[in-house]
Amino acid sequence: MDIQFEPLQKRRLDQAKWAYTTRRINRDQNFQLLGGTLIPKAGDLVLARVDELGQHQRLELVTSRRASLYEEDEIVVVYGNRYAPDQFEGIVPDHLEPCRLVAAGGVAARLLNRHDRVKTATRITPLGLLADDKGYRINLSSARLPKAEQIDHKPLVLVVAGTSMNSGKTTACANLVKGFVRQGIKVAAAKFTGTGAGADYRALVDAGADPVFDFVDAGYVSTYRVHRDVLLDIVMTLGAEMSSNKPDVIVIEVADGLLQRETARLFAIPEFTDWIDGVVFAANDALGAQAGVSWLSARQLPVFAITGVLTASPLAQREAHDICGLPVYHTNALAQKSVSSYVYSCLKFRSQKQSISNPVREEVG
Amino acid sequence: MTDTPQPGKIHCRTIEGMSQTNYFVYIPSETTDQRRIFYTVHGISRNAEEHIHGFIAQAERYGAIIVAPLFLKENFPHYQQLGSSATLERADMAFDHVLQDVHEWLKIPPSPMHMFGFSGGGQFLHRYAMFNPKRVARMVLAAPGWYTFPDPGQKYPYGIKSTLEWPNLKFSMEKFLQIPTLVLTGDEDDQRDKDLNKTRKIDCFQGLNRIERAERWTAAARALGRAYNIPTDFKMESIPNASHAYESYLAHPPFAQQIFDFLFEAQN
Repeated sequence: MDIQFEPLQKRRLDQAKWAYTTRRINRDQNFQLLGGTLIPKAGDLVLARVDELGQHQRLELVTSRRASLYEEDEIVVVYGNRYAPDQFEGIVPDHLEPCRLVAAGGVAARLLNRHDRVKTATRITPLGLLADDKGYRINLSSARLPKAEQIDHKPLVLVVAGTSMNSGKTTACANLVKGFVRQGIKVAAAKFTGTGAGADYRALVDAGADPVFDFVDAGYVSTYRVHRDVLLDIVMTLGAEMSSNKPDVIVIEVADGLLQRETARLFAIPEFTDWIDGVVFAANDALGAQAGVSWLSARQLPVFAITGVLTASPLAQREAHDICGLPVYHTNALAQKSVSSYVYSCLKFRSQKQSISNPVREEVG
Repeated sequence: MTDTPQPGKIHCRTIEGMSQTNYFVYIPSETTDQRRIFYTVHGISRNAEEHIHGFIAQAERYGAIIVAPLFLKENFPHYQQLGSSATLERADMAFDHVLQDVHEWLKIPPSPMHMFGFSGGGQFLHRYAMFNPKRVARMVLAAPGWYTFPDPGQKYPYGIKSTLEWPNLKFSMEKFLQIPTLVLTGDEDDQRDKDLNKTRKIDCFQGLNRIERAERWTAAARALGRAYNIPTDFKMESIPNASHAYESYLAHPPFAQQIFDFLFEAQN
């Protein structure tokens, strides 16, 4: 294997645009650039040059500010797999040859598929992997939160799942957080699956959740094509970290639709499902709501309300209510104190019933 | 107020207070089962005494006392919504005075109650039960014109959200949903008659007639019950050939019996 080391000037790195996905990496260290016949791994940091702008003309920085990109800009992004039905499918390439920027949060990948309505992905050329002063490549896993074996405290846990990407899950999560905060309830929040994106993370922060995490904090740039054990690691790590802050409620967003492989896999992990007190389902239309509620109910998951994009239409709301037999809350109404207090009361009531029927559920793990 | 209860007779009692409230009581001729008090609430025709007459046969058969409050129009113009605001003309509070008087006069426990309400009385009843879910054991609502939906996104009396007129509302929906509830509608009560509230707000959310509104309200209660994971007993039944007139319901022979069967079935 032919590996080349090149010292990196701090000034050069300071001028580069560091993507959101690199937010846990300590930049006050000496870096080297690793080149040659290397095989990148998911989570590896890469310094790349922008060759030709495509779909993503802005890059989310570590602050979540969307910075404009220019050709020949140098960016620090992370190799990862990308699953986005409305945009791209990408995988980690097996070389450092030119590839694509497949997510605004800063994910470098080999492009496999793209949605008809989006432009082709921005072209980038990797200049090398980032390595520390000893020559070890820097991976997100090197800056992750500590692994956890169990979750000690048991707040109320509310999960938001949906029919697909862009079904209203993130908005619903943020509004749920806001509604709880308005009641004086202490809320922690996290996104357990998906692709690293600052907008989703910031939406939860802006709504008032504290602390807020996503899988990047557990050392993963995305969850596409990860093993079940990785999903369990994310559940335990982020679950323990949030619980240790002793919130009253934890709000969790699960990315994409229920049919997405890793999402379905997550909902088959008992450590996760036993932890949940309620699921709010976000749907684009009534038929999707029916399918999602049936899917969750068939797995005995405690789905108790419907929300999402469909709630923009009163008639779609009525259809969903009639066919699913569950309350349908307008996505924006979730931020109202009046609605939120009933969501909380519902969650608490279900949790108490569950505790009575299954008293030994103090710890997860 | 003194008056010796006489079996087989309709008594009319008056409670003096901020607003005068009258009510009628029937005590069965033969035996009285102290557990069986049947409360019936009139519609906007305010025919409380007629309600008593319509249920005397069942009262005798079940040994049930009948209590029928009368909400006079001059005192309680908005009794269906319990009042015009949280502080004005509160019909539910007047009803509580009736309960207290019944309790003291007949030495019977004031709750849990078995209740029936027709039209505006059905409106009063389901709202009273939302505010006081522990007091109502079972209820039958016949042909309410519209409802308070268990929807925290809509303001009271359309939903359960607080307003300036109704501040600081807090409902125990998990208790309300556990009240076995039968909603009766006449199978010809799908007309938009002059008494039906036809505001856009109610038409678009609750439906265009009493049957649609009953269906949607019952479904909404069941849905919230499912959300709370509470096994609810909210059901709807249709009364053949009944329009919206109270007489057309009474003309269906099993009507009164159907109500008593539902309200007192657990005691049989």
